[in-house]
Amino acid sequence: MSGEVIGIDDVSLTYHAANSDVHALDNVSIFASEGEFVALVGPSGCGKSTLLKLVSGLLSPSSGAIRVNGREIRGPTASVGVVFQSPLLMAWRSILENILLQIEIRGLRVQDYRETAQELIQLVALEGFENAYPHQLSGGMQQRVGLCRALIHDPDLLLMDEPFGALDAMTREQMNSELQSIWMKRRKTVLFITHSISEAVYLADRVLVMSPRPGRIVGEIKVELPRPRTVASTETLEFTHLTRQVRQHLNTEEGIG
Amino acid sequence: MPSSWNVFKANSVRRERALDILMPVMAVAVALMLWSAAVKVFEIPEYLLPAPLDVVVRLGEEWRRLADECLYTLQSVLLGFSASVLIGVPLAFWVVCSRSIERMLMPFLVMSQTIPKVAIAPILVVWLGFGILPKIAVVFLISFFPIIVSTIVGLKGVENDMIDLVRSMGAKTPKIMLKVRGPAALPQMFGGFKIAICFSVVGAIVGEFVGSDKGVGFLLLTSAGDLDGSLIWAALFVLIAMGVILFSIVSKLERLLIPWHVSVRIESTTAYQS
Ligand SMILES: Nc1ncnc2c1ncn2[C@@H]1O[C@H](COP(=O)(O)OP(=O)(O)OP(=O)(O)O)[C@@H](O)[C@H]1O
Ligand SMILES: [Mg+2]
Repeated sequence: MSGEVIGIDDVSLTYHAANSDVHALDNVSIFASEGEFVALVGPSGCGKSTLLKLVSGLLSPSSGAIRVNGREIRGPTASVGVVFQSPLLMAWRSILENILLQIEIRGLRVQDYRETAQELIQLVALEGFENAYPHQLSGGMQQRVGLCRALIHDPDLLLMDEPFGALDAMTREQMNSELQSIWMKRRKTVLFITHSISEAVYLADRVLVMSPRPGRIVGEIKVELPRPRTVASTETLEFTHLTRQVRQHLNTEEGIG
Repeated sequence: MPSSWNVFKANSVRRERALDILMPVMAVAVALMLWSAAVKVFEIPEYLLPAPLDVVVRLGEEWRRLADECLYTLQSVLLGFSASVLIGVPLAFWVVCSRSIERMLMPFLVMSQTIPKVAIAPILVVWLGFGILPKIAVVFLISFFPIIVSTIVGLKGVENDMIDLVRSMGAKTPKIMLKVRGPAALPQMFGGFKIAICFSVVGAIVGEFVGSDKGVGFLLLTSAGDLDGSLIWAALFVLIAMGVILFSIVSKLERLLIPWHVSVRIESTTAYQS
């Protein structure tokens, strides 16, 4: 592992809403090095999406600094790809055009990226659907298109906000294993937000646990299970042990444990 | 995909298209038959309500005059409606781009709609004379509101996450408008156009009622003065035909410009039926 790709350095953020201020993040620090897969778990409303918006440059922190590739960010940056919970495909664009949206918006030459788009489509097993429209695809297929769109410009950093939260359990397992193999091939740095503890442990090199109101990092669990991880790895004692650790961090913070 | 499935799908879409034409035609035919029967059974005098056949005969006799008046009215409808589109749509984009523009403009827009057009039409005649201009102005006033409102609703109706997504790609307001909000608003825009084109026909007639010596509205006024029932209805038929044809042209344009929207709609209706 080499250089730092994500540097969230003692960041706090307060939303100034109409009637009350929401202290969403409190002195959060997260560092991720190149090629690392970091998962972030935490209860609803603890500021996970806020954190992701900060890293993608959609929000700026009230205090502290955010660096991507060592450079402090002010506004959206070039080397980031984002996947949200819903696929957010445009109904009026074909699958290929949806993937190339990233290129168009960034003002790059679409022609130069057609081949890459084709490779990505193959990578997620969507060959033959290039010219289909989003409404002709299942939810899982749509989310894969969203993944291709996030990867097309070859970003250093992939940000995913509960990308598989809306999928059924079986599709979700399949998407997890696909994401792992894509990650193993491309070795992007990933910040992956999820509600699912087992998903986090299955995918990540490191799981960070957040507590709500204000959002803080309250636990860090290193996952050193060998890759590629399979369904069988989720049935090992070690896996169970790790998920229990994550759960304990979550519970103590909520005052249950 | 198996080809038999494609055939099935093509057939069901074709059947939908045929029904799209057949069912309204049949509904109108039934209505006309009921109307004929009613006139005969209740012995309604012609100046109150002529039989549809009498109206058709009158249409044949007067077609030249009707066509003239119709063309005149059509002119103000088309010019007024075009002005509404050309002004309403960019104005809606502007309103959505800037909160302060919205704050300043919306009161005027809403106020302009609370004024009854019939009341303002005489003033327009005073301002603009007896020519076609005041009619175009009434058409404009009556039709730009649905266009601007539906366009604003469409432009604003994009999910926040979608906006965040393109902003994360570095898009600024002009690109967001062009690549996201604009295309996403097209279905709503056409909803507004469809209302507006029908309102436009009404607007043109209102304009002609107030001060005109030409147009279908003028013909309606004079024939009503003469208690000429079949001519009134012949003029009304022309007016209805104009409205229906204009409306279907807008629908056709909708199909051409936003096939993604229309095909989504057709597929979901066939899915519900089968
Ligand atoms: N635009 C905003 N204005 C005011 N408050 C906000 C805004 N966005 C989020 N918040 C508040 O900040 C806190 C964190 O929100 P955030 O969306 O980051 O949570 P989250 O961890 O992603 O939750 P979930 O798991 O449900 O998606 C919440 O209490 C929320 O109410
Ligand atoms: Mg969230």
